[in-house]
Amino acid sequence: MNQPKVNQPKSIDTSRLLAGFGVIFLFLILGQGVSRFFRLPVSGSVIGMVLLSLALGSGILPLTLVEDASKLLLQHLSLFFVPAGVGLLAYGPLLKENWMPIALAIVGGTMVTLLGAAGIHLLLLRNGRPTDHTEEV
Amino acid sequence: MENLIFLTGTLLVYALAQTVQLALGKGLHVPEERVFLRKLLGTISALFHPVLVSVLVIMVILSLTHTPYEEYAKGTEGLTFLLAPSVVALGVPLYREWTKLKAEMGRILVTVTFGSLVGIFSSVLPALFWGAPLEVIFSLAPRSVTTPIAMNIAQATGGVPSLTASVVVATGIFGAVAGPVVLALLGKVEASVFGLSMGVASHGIGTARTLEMGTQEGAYAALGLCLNGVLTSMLVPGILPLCLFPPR
Repeated sequence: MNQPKVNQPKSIDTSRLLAGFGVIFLFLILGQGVSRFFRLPVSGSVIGMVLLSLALGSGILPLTLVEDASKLLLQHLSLFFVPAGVGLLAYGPLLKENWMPIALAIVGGTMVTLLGAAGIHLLLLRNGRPTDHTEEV
Repeated sequence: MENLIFLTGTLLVYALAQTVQLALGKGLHVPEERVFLRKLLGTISALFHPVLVSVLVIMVILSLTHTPYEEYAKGTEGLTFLLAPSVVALGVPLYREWTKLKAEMGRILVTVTFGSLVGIFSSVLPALFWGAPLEVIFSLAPRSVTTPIAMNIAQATGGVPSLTASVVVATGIFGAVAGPVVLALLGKVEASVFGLSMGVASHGIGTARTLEMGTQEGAYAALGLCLNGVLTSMLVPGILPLCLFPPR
């Protein structure tokens, strides 16, 4: 086995973990505030994500503070979607009458979107100029 | 009391589903030399996505016990609540890959804009041809973005937010399970191609799946999810009413 064992023996600093959760919630509140104040159609959590990465990038926030808390949340991100998924159960009649377009959108639409996004990005990568010529935003 | 049962049950079912998937992925106790059988088990393990398995198992249990969904939803509010901070936490992988992502931003924006439009119209057009009611069409339109954003959009345009939430999750599960298989059609692709398309097409659940592939792929997926959320929030209320009710 030649797996890198860099992160393995590190024990988790639980008080830093708690502080990390605090910081993440703080950015959620900030994001919600920004979203509400400017009446943006984007939800507070996404704005919070952007603000968090900006704070890390500018050096205001040290990565070590939020690293563990973010890892804990992201490792089991899919768990938090389970209740909403079970919610399909609550739409019996609406689903029964419209199951075909809904199924088409979920199965066909997702495949088309995957291939569409991957296809155009491949095209841009293969036909594009080298990275140092691309425009910066 | 009962509220606790729903939360506990969901956690246990999910943990069990994860263990089963892991065991299948490791090839159970099939000896190393039976390569084909181990490969087959590996493929099956991808189908045993813990969210898919948990959702199905819980649906069956709720139907059998005649438990209304509202009761279950109330009992598991805590889990749903953690969605929002998890989206914020995606800022960390985003920051980690930022220097690399910044240089490619032009290209990434083109891809996500295109992906967002494809995501919206691939849900709306079949529904329109099928003659689905408007509330269903507007519930389907934001299906490719993460739950909290999608529900906002549905609310703003006249969809049914909770129907949207369920369709969003179904999209995420389908993308997470089928995405790697569909993308394999294109041959071996770069981390950016894989991550962006997974993030754009299947939001958080696809991003969680992509994070298993590597941090780099995961960061592209997080960026795809984020930009797609922003773009779709503007595109659905902006252009969809114009397409459905063209001004004369």
